[in-house]
Amino acid sequence: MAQFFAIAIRNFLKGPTTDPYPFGETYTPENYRGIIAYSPELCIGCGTCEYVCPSGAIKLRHDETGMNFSYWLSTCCHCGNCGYYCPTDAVYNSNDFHTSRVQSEKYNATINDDIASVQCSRCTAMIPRAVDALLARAYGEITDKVRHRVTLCPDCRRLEQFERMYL
Amino acid sequence: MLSRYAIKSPWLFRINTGSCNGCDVELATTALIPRYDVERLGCKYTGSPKHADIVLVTGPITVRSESYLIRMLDEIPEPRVVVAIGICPISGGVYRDSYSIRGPLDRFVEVDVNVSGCPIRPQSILDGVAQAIGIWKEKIKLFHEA
Amino acid sequence: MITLSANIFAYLFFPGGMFALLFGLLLLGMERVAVARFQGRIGPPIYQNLLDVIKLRTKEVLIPEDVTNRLMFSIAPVFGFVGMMTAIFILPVSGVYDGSGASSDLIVLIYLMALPAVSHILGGSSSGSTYAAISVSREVILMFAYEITFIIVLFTVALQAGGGDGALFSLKGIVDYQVQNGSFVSDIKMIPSFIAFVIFMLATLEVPPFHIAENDGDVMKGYLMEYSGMPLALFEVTHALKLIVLVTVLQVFFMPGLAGSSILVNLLWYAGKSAAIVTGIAFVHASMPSFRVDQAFKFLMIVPVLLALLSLGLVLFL
Repeated sequence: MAQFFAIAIRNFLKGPTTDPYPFGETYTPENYRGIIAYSPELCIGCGTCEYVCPSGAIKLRHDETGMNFSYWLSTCCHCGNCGYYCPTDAVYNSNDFHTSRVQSEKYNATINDDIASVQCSRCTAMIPRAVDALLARAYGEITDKVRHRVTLCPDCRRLEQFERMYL
Repeated sequence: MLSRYAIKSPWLFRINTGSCNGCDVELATTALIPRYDVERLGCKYTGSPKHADIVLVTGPITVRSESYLIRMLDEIPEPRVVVAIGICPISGGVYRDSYSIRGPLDRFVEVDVNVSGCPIRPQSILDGVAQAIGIWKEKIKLFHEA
Repeated sequence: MITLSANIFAYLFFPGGMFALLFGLLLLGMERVAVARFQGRIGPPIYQNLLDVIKLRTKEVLIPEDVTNRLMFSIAPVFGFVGMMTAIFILPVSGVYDGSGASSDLIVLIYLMALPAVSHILGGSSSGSTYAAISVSREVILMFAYEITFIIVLFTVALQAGGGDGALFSLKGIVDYQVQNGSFVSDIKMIPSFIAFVIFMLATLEVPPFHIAENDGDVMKGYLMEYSGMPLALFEVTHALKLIVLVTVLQVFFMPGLAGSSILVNLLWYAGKSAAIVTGIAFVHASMPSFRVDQAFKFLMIVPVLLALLSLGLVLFL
């Protein structure tokens, strides 16, 4: 019991040890898993993040004109799975922890991005566009031949391969 | 009016409707440990629902706790502010579409502030309480003009 | 030396009534800040308890449906409040206020000091809640244990203040005796009863280690469970007045020293001594956990009673 008295006197002499938030800055670690950040220019639409999300916060919808990425903050459990498995680091956890919203903003706390498909350069089919990070992972060095090849839809690519090999 | 001084002493009350206790541990740390002292804002955790001004609800509303939650929410006098702590009362969290939860908190009571996170950071709880105090001031004025 | 006399002004404004209310709320707030600093936190501003009472004015009043006695539930807070206001009226502050000056007002003090606990018991048992019933039974057990100490200390002080010929039961007489012959706290025979009285003060204010009837751990506010709004504000104000009464009684019994002959200087000296006593209470509050009710009962029946009896024996036979 005498230890408690000693601790009380030490606290009184040394001063309070309170974190100054919300009247000042607080310390946030670098790799704190907060609200996720999304860069549409790096996303390839593979759907891995949707598959591994435990609470179903990420949804990807594909149609002919493109794809749509949507994320709802109120169901995200900040596990970090999406950032861990994304092949191009398009999705990752930032260290933003300011998550309190009023009720009228409940369904506005989202990320909603559309990524349009591009047209094939030989026919009129719509294909998803290529991302440099994925190309670097697949081909190593990105040459002009690779750049030309990714502008073609699969049918046109087969036609061009046939023309190159047999004609 | 008195509302300018009355908002400087909010009394908090916690309701746990079947939570995993992660958010409840964070709620306990905001009050008890010296690092995130909530008493600077004049708050106090109170033991009785009749003394409460700001209600902090955690947990998805499970089947067994639904009747108790409704009874408890009737006991809290107006003017009051309801804060949903964590993602479970806002949308069901990771237990969304499960067979044993009765749905988000806005089916039972009018929620005022949503603070998401799993579990929630104590600094976010302080943010949520500060926002709730702002809403409470408006409610006091409305309550006393009615 | 001019001091104030007891009249209606003293009852309503100074030093009873409004002054005691505001000073009591400030002292309660100071205790809260001191507890926070001892625990390494910042704590609320000093005037926080005054803001609490103002906020309770804006809440609505809810009365439970299965309350056993509606009239008693509504007027139970009034007993304690009125008792404490009267107690402040009759207590002298040395150098500032004469008190009621009657010849046996020490006996009246015994009954007045028990009134806040009575209002807790009445309010709790008429509210119809099981938590309140447990808390009321604990309060009754504790009250039985600590009233014995208080009465023995009171008789010791009265005997010592009578000089060699019988006991002096007038509060003003006790203060005058100590001003002439030296405070009792510097008298070696009265030190055990000083310690016993401090333990009694902790027990009746329900400060840890005696935070039993109303703690948030198991009984969740106990007898105050069903109160909301203005009746709850009356209970809080009674708590503040009880702190003022106890601090003043401690000073009247043991250390009513003067610090000059003007009212203002004596008032500041009184406020300074009260603040030091409250800091001492906060030191014990911040560092000790609470007893169980059976441990507290055994402790209160043995330790303070023996100390007070020791002091009584020394005064009677030496």
